[in-house]
Amino acid sequence: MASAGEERKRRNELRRELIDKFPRDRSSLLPALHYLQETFSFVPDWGIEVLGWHLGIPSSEVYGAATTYSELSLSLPSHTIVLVCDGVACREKGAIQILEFLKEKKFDGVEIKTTDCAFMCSVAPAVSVDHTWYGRQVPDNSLVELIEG
Amino acid sequence: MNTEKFLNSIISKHQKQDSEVLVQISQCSLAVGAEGIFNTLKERLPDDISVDYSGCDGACFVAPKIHYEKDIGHYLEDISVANSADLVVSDYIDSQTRIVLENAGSISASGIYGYLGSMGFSALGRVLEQSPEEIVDLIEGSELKGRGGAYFPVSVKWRSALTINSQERHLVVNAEEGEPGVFKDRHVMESVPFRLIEGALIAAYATRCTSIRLYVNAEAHLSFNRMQKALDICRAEGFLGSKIMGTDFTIEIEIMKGAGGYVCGEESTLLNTIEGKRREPRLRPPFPTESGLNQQPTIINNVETLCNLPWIVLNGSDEFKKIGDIDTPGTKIISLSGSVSTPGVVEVPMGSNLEDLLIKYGDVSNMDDLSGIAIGGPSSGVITSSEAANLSIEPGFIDGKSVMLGAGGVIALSKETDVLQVVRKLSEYNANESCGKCTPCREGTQRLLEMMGTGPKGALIDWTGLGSLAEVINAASLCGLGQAAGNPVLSYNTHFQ
Repeated sequence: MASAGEERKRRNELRRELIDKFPRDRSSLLPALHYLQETFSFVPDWGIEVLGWHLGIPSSEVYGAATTYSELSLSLPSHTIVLVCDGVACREKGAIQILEFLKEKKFDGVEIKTTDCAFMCSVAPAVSVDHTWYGRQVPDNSLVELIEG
Repeated sequence: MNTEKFLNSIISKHQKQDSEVLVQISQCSLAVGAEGIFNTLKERLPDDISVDYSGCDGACFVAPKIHYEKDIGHYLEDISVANSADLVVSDYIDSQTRIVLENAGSISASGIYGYLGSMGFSALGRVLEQSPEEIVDLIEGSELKGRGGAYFPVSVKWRSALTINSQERHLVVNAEEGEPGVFKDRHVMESVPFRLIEGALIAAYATRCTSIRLYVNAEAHLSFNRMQKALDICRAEGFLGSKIMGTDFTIEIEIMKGAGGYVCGEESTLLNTIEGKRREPRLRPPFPTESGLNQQPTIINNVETLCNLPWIVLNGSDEFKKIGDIDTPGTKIISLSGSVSTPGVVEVPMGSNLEDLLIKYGDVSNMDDLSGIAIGGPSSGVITSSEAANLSIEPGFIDGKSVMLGAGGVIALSKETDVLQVVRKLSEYNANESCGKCTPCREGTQRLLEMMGTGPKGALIDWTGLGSLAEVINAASLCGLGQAAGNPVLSYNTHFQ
């Protein structure tokens, strides 16, 4: 937990950065949310407040917009994220088998999730490990090595 | 200075190296090791052969690929890589009709010289020496229709925005490609980014726009980076910013990244997103052409649509009308995937037969090996494989009822695939992506899923009830997502019951 002084300091730092980078206009909202996500790997709640101050819109509305976008995360991911695309095209090429294979493996510190379409249909089935996509995957040890690094 | 002189002065600055290997790096090939090949070749090839990257030429099935006219086989002995200049790939590409994807994969995507060397920006040069009205007339004559899925006549949209008296007018380039099974705009942006810039500038000049926004899908990182780099190059070379190509035409292209959500591709939602509001559609009318971005007239055109403009300017509207369908001239890019041997991106004339497409470009040997075909993603539906012989690539409902081409995704389903599962998957996607603004879509899409249950093929399902609910959702929803959310169910009802 940051002390009150540290808290004030980090808020002020972020505010200065936002002033430098984003014009005080509502249309800066989405680019600024992307900036928060890139800087902190997620959108922290105090960041939402600071962004609200900067743009002159209530933080409830910043929160409202932030939560409608699937690419923005409001909490810090604690695990390695493995995404298995289980869209129609990837299913045709064996995505379900890959998903079952990975779930059986019970990795430590790895969260296996699915996504509806990763737009990698031409190199299906696709799996991503911490945001890097790999195409034409098969349920075998090469995939395990990919995940365990 | 006239534009031709300007163009020649830029071209003379950028002489292509005699010997150049292009490694095709796109989102697809990046996932199968193209970057490693690029790095290896950079290290390995002698200094007289330069290494650069291009985008994927569409033949994703043999990726990773390089493009090189001469034989450098001995440098590649231990690397598994295809050459797009080889017969397998060149046959596949040469048999297509390429307007938008012309030279994709065979010209550099990192520098402007490749595009300039293939008539790049000469269309813009010609446009800037004519009046905006002449360009609108030309496009009207070509009968070009939007390629985002609605196939609305481009000139009608443009004229509608031109009738509104406003100091500011905006062009928004819709690159929020979010339809499952479609990856063509990514291919366009990654392989011919300069064509999109040229197309957008032509459109903005013709419609007297004062700003251009390029809105790229959140997950298309490579497309975003490549467009950003191309914009920087254009700015440095005088193709963007003030006094474009030495004329008085001055405009900027602002690039921004979306943040996920199928509904963001819906044009009024896209505008809300740019303005920093929630991703929800707006009530229409007023249409964006009357009151769009910041309540000012706004034209929203798809990537593929804009990339047709340079070709039409150079070749004329009559030549354009010789290609494709009599009602919808030109080509369409189809994203082909699923149970085909050769998945990829193909550009074919409008009106092409669907079965021919699957056999010729998907290498499907026997249509009976397929249980069905999913067309147009979750806003459309499924047909049986035997019906493909009678259907063609065209706007609107291709089966007359509930299946439409959309942005051009075609997914072949194998004999082992339970088509009902596919319909569930598509309906589930609509339910997840519903923004929640209007009740028929928010509640209806969930209820569709509940009514379909999870049982296997042949399970007792109330198809009559499902059909009428799907029709209510389509009729009573506000935006394009909701108005098409019942289509997967309706198509199953029509073609598989």
